Amino acid sequence: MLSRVADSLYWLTRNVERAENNARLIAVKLTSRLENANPIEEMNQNWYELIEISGFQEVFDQKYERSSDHNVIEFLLFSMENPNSILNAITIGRENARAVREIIPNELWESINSFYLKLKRHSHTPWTMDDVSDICELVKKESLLFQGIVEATMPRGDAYLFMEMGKHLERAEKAARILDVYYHKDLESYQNKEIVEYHHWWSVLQSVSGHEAYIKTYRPLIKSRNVAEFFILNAEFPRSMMYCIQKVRNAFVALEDGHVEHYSESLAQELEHLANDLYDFSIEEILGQGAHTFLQSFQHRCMTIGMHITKTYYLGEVVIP
Amino acid sequence: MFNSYKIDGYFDEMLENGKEPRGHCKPFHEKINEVSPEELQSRYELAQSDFLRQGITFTVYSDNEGTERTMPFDFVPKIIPPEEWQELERGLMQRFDALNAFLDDVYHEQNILKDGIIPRDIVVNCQHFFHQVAGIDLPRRQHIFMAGIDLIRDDSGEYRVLEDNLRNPSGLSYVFQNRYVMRKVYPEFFNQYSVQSLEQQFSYLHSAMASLAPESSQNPTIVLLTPGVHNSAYYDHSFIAQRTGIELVEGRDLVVREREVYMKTARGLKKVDVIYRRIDDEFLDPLEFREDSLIGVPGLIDVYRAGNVSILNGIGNGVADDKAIYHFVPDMIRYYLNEEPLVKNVDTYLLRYEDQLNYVLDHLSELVVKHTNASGGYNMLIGPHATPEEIEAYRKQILENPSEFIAQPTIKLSRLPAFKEDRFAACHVDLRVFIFGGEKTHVFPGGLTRVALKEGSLVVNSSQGGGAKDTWVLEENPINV
Repeated sequence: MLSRVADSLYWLTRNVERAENNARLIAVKLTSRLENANPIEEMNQNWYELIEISGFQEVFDQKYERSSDHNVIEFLLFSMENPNSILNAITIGRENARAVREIIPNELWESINSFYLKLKRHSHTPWTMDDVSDICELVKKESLLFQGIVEATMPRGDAYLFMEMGKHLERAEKAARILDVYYHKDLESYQNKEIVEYHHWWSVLQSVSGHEAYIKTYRPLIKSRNVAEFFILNAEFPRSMMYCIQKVRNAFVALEDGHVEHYSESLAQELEHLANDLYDFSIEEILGQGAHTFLQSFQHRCMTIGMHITKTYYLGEVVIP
Repeated sequence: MFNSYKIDGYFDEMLENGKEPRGHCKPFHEKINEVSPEELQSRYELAQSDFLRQGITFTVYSDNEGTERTMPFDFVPKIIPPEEWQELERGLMQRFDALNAFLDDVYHEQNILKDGIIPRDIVVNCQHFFHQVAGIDLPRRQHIFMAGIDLIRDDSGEYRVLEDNLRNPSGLSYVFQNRYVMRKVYPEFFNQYSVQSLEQQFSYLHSAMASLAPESSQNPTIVLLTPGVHNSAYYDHSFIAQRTGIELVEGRDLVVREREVYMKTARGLKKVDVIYRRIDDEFLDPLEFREDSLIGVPGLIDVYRAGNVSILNGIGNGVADDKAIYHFVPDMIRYYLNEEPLVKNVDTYLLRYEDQLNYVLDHLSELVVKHTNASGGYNMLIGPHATPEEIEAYRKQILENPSEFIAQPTIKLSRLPAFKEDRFAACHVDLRVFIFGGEKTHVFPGGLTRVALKEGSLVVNSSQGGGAKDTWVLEENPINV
């Protein structure tokens, strides 16, 4: 497979995954506002968390004077100045797909193309807060449809494996980022701390659609320790960090037929170390070193893995001497 | 729906003697008369949105950012009866073979020039004649892998060749997509017909490419070289690559090492044997042609010269589809094949000859005059539709350099009904037929029917508001009817 093609496939799924994650976060915020016992305290500042998760505070602050609902959502959904906005991710994803449309099933191309056309139409029409939930729903559904087509129609060859790596690496990194931002939040200042805390962690779980799976493991007792364990170490939940890293690793092993060659050694090592750490550490040990430290280092290691993938398979602009 | 339909002295491909459908169009004509205008309109919209959803678009560079547009699709097909098609097919294969022989000759012995059949200076001064590729022996001596020959029908209904496109003819993907949409949105129109299928064509296409590989390669690696996603014909490129199962590459994916071409894969370099390129000659190799080309592959021509890679269509084919050389194609057929041409040219005046120049200058208001270097309907004079000022301005251009112009009588292009919301309008059509070489010359059944949807307009190019129709070649022995 051409390295340029592998690059497009890898970024195609990363971008679709990114868009879906953003939509989940916005949707959860919307509902948590409705259900929260302290709606006033949940106001504007909390919308800003989404900007923090996206990691583009500076761009946002430059563009808007204040973080109103509308501004935040506009920025996250449609702003082309936000490299992480949903429309941007899907525009790039669609360009990636277009560059490899002879490789991917036609159905898959059609799905991302109409996804893009629908979003584009929404971005051109005025919207109110009432429409946001529908738009998020659209993004989630289109993204799930996309993934479903991949699963149902693509042969498990190189193309699929590059897409697997992209998707799961993005998902792992995003899970860590979400947890990190929420862990950061100071809940002590709230009046009815217990309820706030409950809602807080409940939204976190919802934002990865993990609230139902969580209850099955931990009963409806929402504790930060358990949420962290679920997010980081659950081997069965498809959006946990452990699960995603395992998937990236499996895809790599399949791609290399189980061998480690000279050129793939550093990638193999990085993946193995990270997977082993997740196996070896208990949640107490992780929280003991500080959740923030751990999650930051996890995100950093994901980035390193991404760099090694790029190098190993000559992704991106390739210069061959 | 047909009440206001006018024949106006043109050859109508569906109706004859005023209103009666021709024999082979009768069942179709009856069928559309049964469907209500509202139903036709809603299906029409369904068809257009299908093209958009599938991203079957071309890029228009009218403003700074390229806009993606779908080619308007009209559901009235061009229906070709089997006997008519067989005759055409023979004529086109003959023409293809003669053009190919001409290309091999002008890049080798140049007998046709020595024998004075074609003036030498027209050939060697042609901007598409490349001395860089002279003397190269191509596999099977095939310079043309795919030709897209444009045909029109005159006022008597006779087919004539308008252009031989031997470089990068596009539109093949639309032939297929038109058929798919037709089958999906208007299935009942096929009821009374047995239409030749297009499905097996891609296996011919693939084996044709493989048969043109350098001799040394048994199981050749074939790629399609595209300028990239921003090229207006990118959809065509990716469709052909997908359907023939070959890799779609850009110049930056290829690299030359020791007189071999390689592609950059995720597992290192892989040797390439056949390149079906959709990049123009001038941009293929910055070391040989345009130095500023960023989409080409440095060193590619050297590999070609060494016989280590096949490039399809051959480099320098433009010398054979040049507008001035077109005039001589019937002579080529007589010279190389010793046969009489079966499909006629459109009469063409070469303004390099003084008598023809004088005639043309005296009759500008009746003629179509074209610059030999222009394509796609740009910079031409359509005499009958031009104002006296336009004619005078064009006359000046001609006099500056007469040998760069040709002139043709205004052909009364044949017409077919096209759907216009509440009625059918008679619109001019032409037909691009795809022919390819390889072990033997092969013609795609049908082709791309282009239609000038602007009423009265003669310009069918998609860049200038033209649309497309499905093209049906009927089976000789109909099955399932």
